[in-house]
Order: sequence, then C-alpha cells, then structure tokens
Amino acid sequence: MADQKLTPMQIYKLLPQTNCKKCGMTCMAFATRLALREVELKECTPLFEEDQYIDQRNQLTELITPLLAAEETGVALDETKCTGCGNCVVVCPVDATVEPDTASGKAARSEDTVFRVENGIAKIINLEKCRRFPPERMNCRVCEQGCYVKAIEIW
Amino acid sequence: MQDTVCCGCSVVCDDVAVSLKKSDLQSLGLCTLGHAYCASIRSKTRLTKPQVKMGTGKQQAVSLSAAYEQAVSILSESKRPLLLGWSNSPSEVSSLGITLAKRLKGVFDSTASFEYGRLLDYKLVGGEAEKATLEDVRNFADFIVYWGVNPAESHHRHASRYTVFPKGTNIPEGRESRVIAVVDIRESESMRLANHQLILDPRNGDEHFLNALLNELKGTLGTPPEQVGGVPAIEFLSFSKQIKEADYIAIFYGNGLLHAPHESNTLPLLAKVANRLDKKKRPCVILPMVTLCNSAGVVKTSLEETGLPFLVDFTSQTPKPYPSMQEGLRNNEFDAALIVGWDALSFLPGPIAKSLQSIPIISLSTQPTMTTRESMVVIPTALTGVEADGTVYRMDGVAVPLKPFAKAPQNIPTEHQVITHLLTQFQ
Ligand code: SF4
Ligand code: SF4
Ligand code: SF4
Ligand code: SF4
Repeated sequence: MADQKLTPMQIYKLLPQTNCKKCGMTCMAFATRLALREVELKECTPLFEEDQYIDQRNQLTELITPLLAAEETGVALDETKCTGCGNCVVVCPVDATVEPDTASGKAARSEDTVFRVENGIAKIINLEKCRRFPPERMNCRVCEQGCYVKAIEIW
Repeated sequence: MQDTVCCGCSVVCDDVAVSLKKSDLQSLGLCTLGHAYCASIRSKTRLTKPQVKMGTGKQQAVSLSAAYEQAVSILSESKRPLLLGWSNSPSEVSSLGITLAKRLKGVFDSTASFEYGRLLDYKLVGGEAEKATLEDVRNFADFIVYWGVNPAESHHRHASRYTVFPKGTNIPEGRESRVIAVVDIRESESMRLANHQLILDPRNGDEHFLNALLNELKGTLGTPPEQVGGVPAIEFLSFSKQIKEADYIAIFYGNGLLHAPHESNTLPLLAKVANRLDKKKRPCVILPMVTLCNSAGVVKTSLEETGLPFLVDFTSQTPKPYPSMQEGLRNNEFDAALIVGWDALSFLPGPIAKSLQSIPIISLSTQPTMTTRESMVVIPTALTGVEADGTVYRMDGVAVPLKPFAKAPQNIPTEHQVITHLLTQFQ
C-alpha cells in the first residue's frame, strides 16, 4: 500500500460512505481533503465509534501513515498575485505526464493536472499529485522557481 | 467549454476555451489580461448607444443611422482626415480602412508606427530568420533575449508558451535547454527567470552595450572597460561568450529599447548585431514585442496594399510615406480624425492630444475612454475575437482565424460593418 499514490478515491472506498456529514462535509469531500492533509482521519467520528467499521479504520490508518509521516510539506498558491502566465502549468513534471501538451507550452485543459489556469488565475486542482508528497517525496520546487511573481510558496 | 482565440495581446493564444452563460464567463488557459479582455463584453460600463456631440457640446445618445449621418458629414467636409488605430481590429477591417483613407485622400496610420519604431527601415532581418515563427523559437531557440520589455507584465504567456519553459524539437529539457537573458534599465520580474540579468545605465546603456557587443562580435573590442553600458565587464563577457555559442538566437525587443535615448542609434546597432549573429547554421531571429493583437497584421496589410507599413499619405494618387503622425497633429495638418479601437487621447503626449482634441473625432470603441468622451461621434462596436470574426496576425506574423463565441448586443455593429457602411457613402 505504502508505495502507491494515495488518491481520494482509495480513501473514499474505505470510508463509511454514508454522507452523514458529521465531519462537516460529504464522504468524497472528506476523502479529498484527507489526501491533501487538510483534515484528520479522526474527524470522521463514525469510523472510530462504530464497530462495523473496524477493518476499514485499520486499513485507512495504515494507508495514511506514510502521508502523515512525510516531512511537513505543502504547496500554496496566492491567487491575488497570480497573473495566469501558465509558467507553473508548463514546468510541473506531473502536468507533463498527465497532459503532455502542457510541456510544450499549451494550457492545461483536462482535470488531471496539478495546476490549471481558470478564469485568468492558476488553481491547484490536484495537490495530492505533487511529487513532494508520498510516495515520491521529492524536493521538487520547479513551479516555485518558475513563477514570476512569487505567487507559489513551498514549505 | 468551447475553443476560442484570445485577442487580449499580440501572443494571440489559440489553445484556450471559454463558456459564457448569461454574464458569467468561465475560461481555461486565458491569463488575467485575456480573461479580463473577454469578460469586458459583459462589463457594466460597456458602450451600447451611439452618441453625437450636439451644439451644446454635450454628447447625446442617438440612433445608429443618425450617428452614421453625422460621421459621413464630418468626413465629407474634411479635406485631410487622419485614420488612426486599427491594431485591435481584424485585418479585414484595416484593409477596408486603407480603401477608405484612399477615397478620402487622408492619412492612414496604426499604433504599429510606435510599436515597430523605424526598425523596418533598417532591413533588420533577412534569409531564414525572417520567416521564423514563435513555434520555431519554441522548437529551436536555445538563446533568448528580452530587451527593454518585461513579458511578465505585458505578455503574460509569452515565456510559458514559446520562449523560456516549453520543450521543443531541439529543446528536450525546456527551461534547462535554454539560456535566457533579460536586458533592461531596472530589475524586472522577468529577470527572475534569466541566466543573464543585465541592468543598463538608463542614460546611454543600450547604445554602449550594443556598440561593445558589435565590436566583440567583429573581434575588435579588445579588453572591455570595467563597465559596459552600466553592466560589469565580467557579465558582459559571459553574455557575449554564450550568445556566440548558441545554436539559435531569438531577440525580443520592446518599448524600453524603442524609446531609449539615442533611439536612432540603438535600433540600427541592434540590427547590425543581429545581422552579424545571423548565420546560415545559426539563425538569429528578432521580433518586436508589439502589444496589440493585430499590430503585426495592420503592418502586413498596409505593406501589401500600399507598399508602406504605416503612415501612408493618400493625398495624391500614389501612396506616399507620411513623416510623423505626431508632428502632423502638432502642426494642425488634419481637420478630422477617425479612430478605430484605440484610446489615442490617453496615449498621446499632452500637447499632441490637445491638437487632436481640437478637430472633430469619430471613434469606434467597445468601452468608454478618454477618446470617446471627447469625440464628436461615438459608435459602439462588437469586440474583436469575442463577438467579431476575422483574421489577426500574431506578433510573429502568423495568421490566426478568430473564433468568436458571443453575439454582440442588438444594434451594436462590427467595425467591419461600420467601415463598410462609410465606404458606401464615399464611392
Ligand atoms: S463523518 Fe465520516 S461517514 Fe460522515 S460524512 Fe464524513 S466521512 Fe462520511
Ligand atoms: S513542486 Fe514540482 S511536482 Fe509539485 S506542483 Fe510544483 S512543479 Fe509540480
Ligand atoms: S507561475 Fe505563478 S503567476 Fe504564473 S500562473 Fe502559476 S502561480 Fe500564476
Ligand atoms: S497572453 Fe495575451 S493572447 Fe494569451 S491569453 Fe494572455 S492576453 Fe490572451
């Protein structure tokens, strides 16, 4: 498990999938935010309180351990500074893999890239794919270096 | 989402998509400038009604036919009208504009006369380099120079699409396969991406640097002085060494060079440098960073139809070069102006704007501007590329057919329709 990329879908499959919203959102939204480490697994209280979920609880805990063990890292984009230049879209190696045209300068048009310029401003649409996160945990910073206006911050 | 072509600047991006529902515009790939350009069709300030200045000096909303009537009357009475702007319009419109200028015995000029400077006079490029496109730059150029221009501010996607980051045929690693130099009189955002950050002395740095570079290329420089145009000698030498080692050079120059002190020296010097660098096996492409979406197109159309790039005087049968639009205005040589898609009054220097203001102006525009506010006749028009169809020529002269995605509000004509109408009145 640990050598796989953790996707929101993998997480979702192991959640109770009841959309009870005790965590404040739907199960799918929770899965997405868990992959981004914006929420913690224990915020899904049914998973820990109801015995029927014991297997899933254990599996999920195991699944996200490498994510939590990763050194604290993150990529943030300050939309107020962004000019939509697309430098980040073109330089990100992940974007080049999932939408090869971006590597030759084209705009990201699919939903699969890390960056996509929407309504004039870049958005991070799949942060979990960034190579800084497990399993790669590479110290990639090319998007940060390529941004003219220092709108991207990596820590 | 549907594919479209952005007319927000001279990069004319054709890989973008939009969807428009009521007044909500969604876009993919457009930069902030391009998104704002396209979204402006739904802006609250948009011009919707033709206006004519009445006896009181106040503008009043009138019907389109009344506005046409007034425009025709101004142009009929004029002995020497100035037809200005055009660079934000498709080439089909500028072509009609040239015919109109001919019939009215006026002077045709576009914003390109500022944007190109006198470069065309210097026969700058020749051979293969002249046909080079931005795709060639992307595929082959391993040495990029931005001179007197900050694309981070003016041409947002230029570097990501064509010059700095993209991979190409001979550029396997994208950014890593290229050397980038940014030359300016102050630090700019674009320098963040450059290997050579050359900050020139604002007084005469361009000229000194180019002179030294030319001599270095000729092999006559010897030991350079401590500072070359404000740049430490060591940086100058590292730049000149690397540019000589390049396989394909692309130089993009902008206002900073065009309006540098001693402009009449710097441009020919740049031309000489480029010509010396340009070899059969190592092309050196040089392109002005024009800003408006069809600046290159107006020049092309004008060259094809009149033999002159801009500033065409139709007073006599054969078109003649007109020396300077600004001088002409200063000397009150014109008695009316038709301004298409350009805010001339906020662009021109004060005293010249004043002379322009003193003659009747007919303006075509989508938004209210200083120029429309001072105009005798204002005709609101459809927005190029968004509502109006046609062809524009990218900064490198490549034709791009537009893909409009919206309908102009009722009663708002295209520029093409307006100029066509005027032509029917002057047979
Ligand atoms: S608390 Fe758990 S079960 Fe409830 S919606 Fe959130 S993820 Fe689903
Ligand atoms: S750090 Fe690297 S992989 Fe992550 S988003 Fe930036 S460019 Fe892409
Ligand atoms: S590189 Fe920076 S400015 Fe350009 S699109 Fe990305 S975040 Fe925005
Ligand atoms: S770079 Fe120019 S043409 Fe491209 S999206 Fe931005 S404004 Fe439009």
